[in-house]
Amino acid sequence: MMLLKIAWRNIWRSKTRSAVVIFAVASGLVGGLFASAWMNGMAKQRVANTFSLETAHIQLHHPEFADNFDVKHTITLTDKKLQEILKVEGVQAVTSRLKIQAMAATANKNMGVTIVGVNPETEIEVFGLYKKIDSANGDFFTSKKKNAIVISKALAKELKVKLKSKIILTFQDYNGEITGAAFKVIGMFKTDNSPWDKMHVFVRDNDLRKVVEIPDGQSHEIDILLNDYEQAGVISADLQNRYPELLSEDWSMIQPYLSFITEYMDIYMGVFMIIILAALGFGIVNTMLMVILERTKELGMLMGIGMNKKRIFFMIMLETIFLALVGALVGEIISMFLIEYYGKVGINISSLAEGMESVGYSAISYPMLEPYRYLQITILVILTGILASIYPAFKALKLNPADAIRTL
Amino acid sequence: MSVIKIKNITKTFTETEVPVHAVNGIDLTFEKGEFAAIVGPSGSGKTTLLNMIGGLEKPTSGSVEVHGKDISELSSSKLIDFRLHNIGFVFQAYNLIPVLTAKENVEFIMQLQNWDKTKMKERTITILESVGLGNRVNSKPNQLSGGQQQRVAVARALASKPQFILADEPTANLDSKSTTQLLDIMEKLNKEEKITFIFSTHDQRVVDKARRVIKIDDGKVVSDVVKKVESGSF
Amino acid sequence: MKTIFKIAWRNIWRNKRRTLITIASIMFALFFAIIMRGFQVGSYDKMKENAIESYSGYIQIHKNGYWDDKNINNIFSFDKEKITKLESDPRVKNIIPRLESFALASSGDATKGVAVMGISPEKEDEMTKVKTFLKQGEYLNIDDRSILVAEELAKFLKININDTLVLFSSGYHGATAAGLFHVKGILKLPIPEMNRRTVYLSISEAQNFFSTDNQFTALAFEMDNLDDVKSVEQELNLSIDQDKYEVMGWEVMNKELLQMIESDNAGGVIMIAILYMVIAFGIFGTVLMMTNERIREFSMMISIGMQKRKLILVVIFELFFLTILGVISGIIISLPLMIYFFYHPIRFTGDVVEAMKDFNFEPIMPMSLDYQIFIYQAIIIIIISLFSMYYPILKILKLNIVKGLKS
Repeated sequence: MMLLKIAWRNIWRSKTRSAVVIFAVASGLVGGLFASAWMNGMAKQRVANTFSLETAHIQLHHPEFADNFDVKHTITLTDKKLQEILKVEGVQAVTSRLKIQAMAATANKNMGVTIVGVNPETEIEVFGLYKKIDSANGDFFTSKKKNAIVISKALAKELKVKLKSKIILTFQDYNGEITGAAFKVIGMFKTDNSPWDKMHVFVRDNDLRKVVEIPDGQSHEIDILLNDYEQAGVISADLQNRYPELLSEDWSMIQPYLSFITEYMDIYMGVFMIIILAALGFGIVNTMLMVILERTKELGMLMGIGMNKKRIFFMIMLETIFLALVGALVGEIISMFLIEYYGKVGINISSLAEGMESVGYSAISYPMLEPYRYLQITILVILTGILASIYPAFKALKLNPADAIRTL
Repeated sequence: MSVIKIKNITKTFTETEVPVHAVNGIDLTFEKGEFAAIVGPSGSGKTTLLNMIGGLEKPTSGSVEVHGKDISELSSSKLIDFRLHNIGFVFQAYNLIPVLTAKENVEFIMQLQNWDKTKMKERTITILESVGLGNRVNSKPNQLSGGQQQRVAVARALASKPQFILADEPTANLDSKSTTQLLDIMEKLNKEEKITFIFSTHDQRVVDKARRVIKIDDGKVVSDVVKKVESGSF
Repeated sequence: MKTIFKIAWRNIWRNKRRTLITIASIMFALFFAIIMRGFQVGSYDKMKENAIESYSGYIQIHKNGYWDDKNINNIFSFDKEKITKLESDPRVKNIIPRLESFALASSGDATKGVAVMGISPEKEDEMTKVKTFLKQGEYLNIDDRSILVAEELAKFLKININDTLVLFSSGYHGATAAGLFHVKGILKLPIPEMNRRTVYLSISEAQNFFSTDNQFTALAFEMDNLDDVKSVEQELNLSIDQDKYEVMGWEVMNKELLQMIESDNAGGVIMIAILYMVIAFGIFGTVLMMTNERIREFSMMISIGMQKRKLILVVIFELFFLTILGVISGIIISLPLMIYFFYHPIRFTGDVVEAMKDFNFEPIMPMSLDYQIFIYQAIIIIIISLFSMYYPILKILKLNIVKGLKS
């Protein structure tokens, strides 16, 4: 206890020097934590966006559907299955879709697209695409108009169409014939993922079903939204057992890069934090060495009056840890405020928007950091303190009490 | 003619709670070739007086004239040059630049004065030999004893042929053998090079060697005695 | 001056341990910064090169408005003499005509929207090296009626060489475009997105299919040197009717790529800035200690007649030596690793490959040996130490000699 007190008071003896170390640790942590939170927020947002716009949490398909999107590879008795799935514990909402490869054409342009046939009532419970249409750009099938289509602004620009323009979709129907149908644009959306935007158009399930001649009750895809996305693996396995004739995939199987993004961020930020702490370690070692050199006489005196080497070693280690911890605390508090503030306000880097959106990131990001990260970083700082104290503490032990006193 | 003329100088420190009158009205004159000791108990104002003579501190009132010029009127950068060319300093301890050898320490001031290289080398060797360190020219300060370090400091102070040398308790950290050695050398150089030595001390052996003893107490001159020249050198 | 140098040099070795630790910390920071920048710059260069050489070329000429509205009606024609004349410019290596549009490709039950590239087989190969991507079958001849299909697309359509592929589209001014093509080869294209949806026809066949006569959508310029682009672009703009045609440099055509690089680069710069900030504190701490423990020495030197500015010079040299030693050792330890990675770029394996393919990246991480990386990093470190010099300078300028001597 006495040692704690001595160690604590010692770090305040040379205020400027301690302040330099404390600010170094604090600024390193603020930089590191804020950057982590920023990237973390961006990744989380991207994952959430992908769930909400592209994959949901679990999808069911005909096992061969993914091979070439064959119109005939359908799920049968869709309605019954939807009702059954809705009763599964942990499932929040469920919907079915048709998915057909097609060419979208206007008077002067052709583009390859995927037509998604949706049931608007359940679709909006699972997917959030309807939120990506602002009021000036129509709606997501709220009106009852026949043969309506919702496309992205990016595609609209490519095809040179506006609201109420017509688009001809050409595709292969259920019988293998190439057919086409005209759809009228009723809504235009924009997500943060511009390549995805250009490749997807949305029409009503029953409109599409008619022209493609898909029998009632058959669908290409069932999309499931869960209460907790981390349950996806378990529930997906359960559904696979229940419907052996189908292929059930959770989000990590549909988009492997999603789990990769989070993992990659974790590793990247972890390595970065360690590099920062290592750099800080150098500064701490240097400072503590100076402290030892300056206090040669005092340490000699302490050894002279009977403080054993173990205690000296421990005292110096404690001083180092305290120094690092004070810095860590300051840094963590500042980071917390910064992250809290920008987590609400958001960081807007719209000057880079096109580049970000071409790889699926939003230009406005909301930094966030899980609370356990602070604990993690505190432990890392203590570890750095211990490591950085070893060398100076050994130096202190090598002092000979008599010599140390003689340097008076 | 007098080298240094001190006219009614005072020095008051006001940073402390009660103002301290470290030097409280002193008039002194030093002639060329003097070998003078300023003695007094600690706190009597010896160091402050020496500092003011050397231009390290400015007097609160009064003036210090060197060759008729009031040095308290000089700018701080002029003052440094003035010291460089006119005064040699020897302090109690830590006199030498730790990273330079004995020879380089002595050459240092001459280099600052832009001496000719060959002349400088000659002078360095002569002066180091005359302080009895001809065999230690390439030693670094931490390889020398305290007495040897002080002798290098004296050699350095002398090398550039200053008007006078100020030494603030030069023997304070030395044993008696080193003290005698250092004093003998100082005395010898004073005679050979005709350089004024003014030193503060409370060491009786140093006082005994001095030809003029100025006693100070409470910032005032208590007595100023010029001894009879025993062995007539001049 | 020599003495000042000498004093400074010896001073940094007075406390060897501290100097070595400070040098080590600079070395360490520089090492990470250089390696990180090396990978970043290397990847960016690779991305740019890929984007240019695999598709856009250094400059393209289109009918005015084509780039924003890529449609089969936005086509143009240059006569042979004009092209030959442009090609005679020594900075221009090759001019490649293309006719590109979209079509619906089907075979059996499978149908997919594809990009149709009408190319001049030999010229195209010179820049984009299409021939090297040939996995099966043979490459196109100029008057072939055959088609080359990208690998993933072929898989999707379940076709192989010698099968027949049906293309549907609308041609010039709404003409119906439909045709059967003999699959002559399968291409494994390096950019995944292209590998999923590209077919190649010879340009004459494509012109035939889309009923465009002897017109094209783009003339792509292959060049030797990226630095020549600007000047050639400017000259083209002067010599060409700008109402009819548009001249585009690779930077405009790859705007999204450049912005993505910029945003990624900004992230990297922030990381390095944080690292350097930490190192700056370390340097400053050392400077602080070096200054404070020598106040007495400084006072002594001034009182024996050394001008303050000379003393400041000593301190500046000390810091300079320290920094330079750190910088040099940082560069020395990072060089072998950089050279190694330059010749053996990291190839990703596992999940990463899929993720990178999703972003249209080749799954390798090349290293750049651009000397500018070293220079920039070294300059930054030197600037940092310049900043930390203010402390000893201020300390010396404000030094109270009498107090200093007593300390």
